[in-house]
Amino acid sequence: MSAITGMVKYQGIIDLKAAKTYVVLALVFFLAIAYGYLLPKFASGILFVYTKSSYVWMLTTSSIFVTVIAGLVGLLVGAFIGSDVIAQEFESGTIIKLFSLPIRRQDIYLGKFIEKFLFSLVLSLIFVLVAIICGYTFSGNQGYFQWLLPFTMGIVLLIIGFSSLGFLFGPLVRQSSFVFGIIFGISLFFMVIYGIIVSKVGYSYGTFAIPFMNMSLVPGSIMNYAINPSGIFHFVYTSFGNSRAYNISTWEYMILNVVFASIEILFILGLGFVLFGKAELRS
Amino acid sequence: MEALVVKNLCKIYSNGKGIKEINLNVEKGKIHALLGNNGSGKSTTMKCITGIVFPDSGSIEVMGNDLRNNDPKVKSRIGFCPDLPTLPKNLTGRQCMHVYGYIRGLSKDQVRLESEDLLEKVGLLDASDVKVSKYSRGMLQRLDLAIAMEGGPDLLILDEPTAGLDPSSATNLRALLKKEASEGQTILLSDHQLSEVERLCSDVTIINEGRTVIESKMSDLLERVKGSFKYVAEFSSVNDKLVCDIEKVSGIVRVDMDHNYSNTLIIYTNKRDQLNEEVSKIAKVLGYSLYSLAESRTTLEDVFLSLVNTEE
Repeated sequence: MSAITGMVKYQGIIDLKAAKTYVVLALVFFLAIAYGYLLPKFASGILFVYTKSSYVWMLTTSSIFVTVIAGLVGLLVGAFIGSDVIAQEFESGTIIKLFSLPIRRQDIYLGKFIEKFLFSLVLSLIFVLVAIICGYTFSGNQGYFQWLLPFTMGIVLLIIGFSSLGFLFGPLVRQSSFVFGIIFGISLFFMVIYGIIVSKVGYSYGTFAIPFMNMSLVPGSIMNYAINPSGIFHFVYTSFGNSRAYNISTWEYMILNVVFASIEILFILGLGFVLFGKAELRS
Repeated sequence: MEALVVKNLCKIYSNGKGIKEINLNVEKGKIHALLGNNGSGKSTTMKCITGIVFPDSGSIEVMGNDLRNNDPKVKSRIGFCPDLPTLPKNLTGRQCMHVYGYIRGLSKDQVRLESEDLLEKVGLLDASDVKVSKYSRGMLQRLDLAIAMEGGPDLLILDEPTAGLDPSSATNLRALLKKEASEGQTILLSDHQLSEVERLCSDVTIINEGRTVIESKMSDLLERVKGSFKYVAEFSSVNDKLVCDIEKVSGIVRVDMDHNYSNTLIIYTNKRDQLNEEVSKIAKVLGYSLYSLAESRTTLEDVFLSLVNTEE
């Protein structure tokens, strides 16, 4: 067994034994139920107009509040699983044991990332499957699931995106509660920035570069493209009393979100990789 | 053959603490003691050797292989127990053995077999399914030792393995180390119980303020004071002049103030004849009285204190 595989197992077993994991699972179940059942049933007519027909609830929700749900999934789940991935090792002192073992620091980091990726994949599958079951119960057979795999991968990218901050700030802050707060703070900061820019200036390619907002938009944009590859995505954004309309092809909308989000995630993880490799223990 | 060779190791932390020039040679199959006061640099030296902190300069060789760049192949020959055992609290003892075994690159079967064997060796087999958070300090130390021994490393590095243990746990742990050494295991350890170190270790390196003061075989070190005698002398009062005058007496090696008891001097001498008379005479000239003069055994602690005090 290679050291990286061993590291993935180490992190996996630690996650399975942590109470926090079950909080995250409960959260994923709740958000999936909210997405598949609660919001279509109770929020119809407020945020969107729900039409009970084949796969429409997915399409309707994808264009409007998938951003809200996706933002919550990314922020809450990402913060929960990312805040302690590195910081907890420093906080509890177990990093000393890890650093003394015959494994490169980069491989420790990589092993932890792979485990978090797999964990995010499992959570995303649970989220999507529970949402589909709820949607099926509420709306009947959707009958159209070609969006399923890319949408699930979009959720994975979203969770990894938010949790990547834990990889970046873990070696610096070394306190999981602080890292949790930082993930929240940074995410909310960019969401507010996004709101201000869009309401004042309107949409441009630049708005897709705003971190964490684009990550929140990834699953919805993937779903829109999968459902309607040649379609035009039209939406109206209202904030601070200003209303802005925007038309963009579903292809362009998806590509811009995915590319910008991926570049930012790679940058954050890369920076964390360097910091972790150089992390010094204090005397 | 030497299991570990450290040359001119230097590591200064941002707060100015650290080690300046550490030299260390640990022979294969021996128990080697690394001694020094708190803050002298023992833990930093061990953390440099195990790759936990990056040294500023110097070289480290393990079993003839350069440890530069923290090469995992070279590091696989080292097992380390830090001074405070910190293991994932949600896991049981057995699970800890398994996860660290996997990182060491052991297969599932190897991990299972070695875990059972080592847990039995350290006397934790019965408690192996208990969560680590419920372990006592002694149990944690033993589990940490078992984890360090996974994969059969050539060199075990133990930072104060008996610190915080009750006397019986400490004795058991030392007996276990002695047994391992008798089977050919090389061990580098630090310990504040010098009387125990004297019994356990065959070689010793003393460091002070980040520098190696002396590297020696334990027997050679004790030989340095063998043939000399240690006396504890109590006076009505003592001063520097008294110390100076006694040191001038033929055969007297050194005179130290006893930091634990006032008006008491510790006298190291090569001859015992007429010591009482001569010391008494010197004290009388200075207007003091010699209350008592008793012979005491010279220990590693005396050697350690004399070397460290000389440095200071």
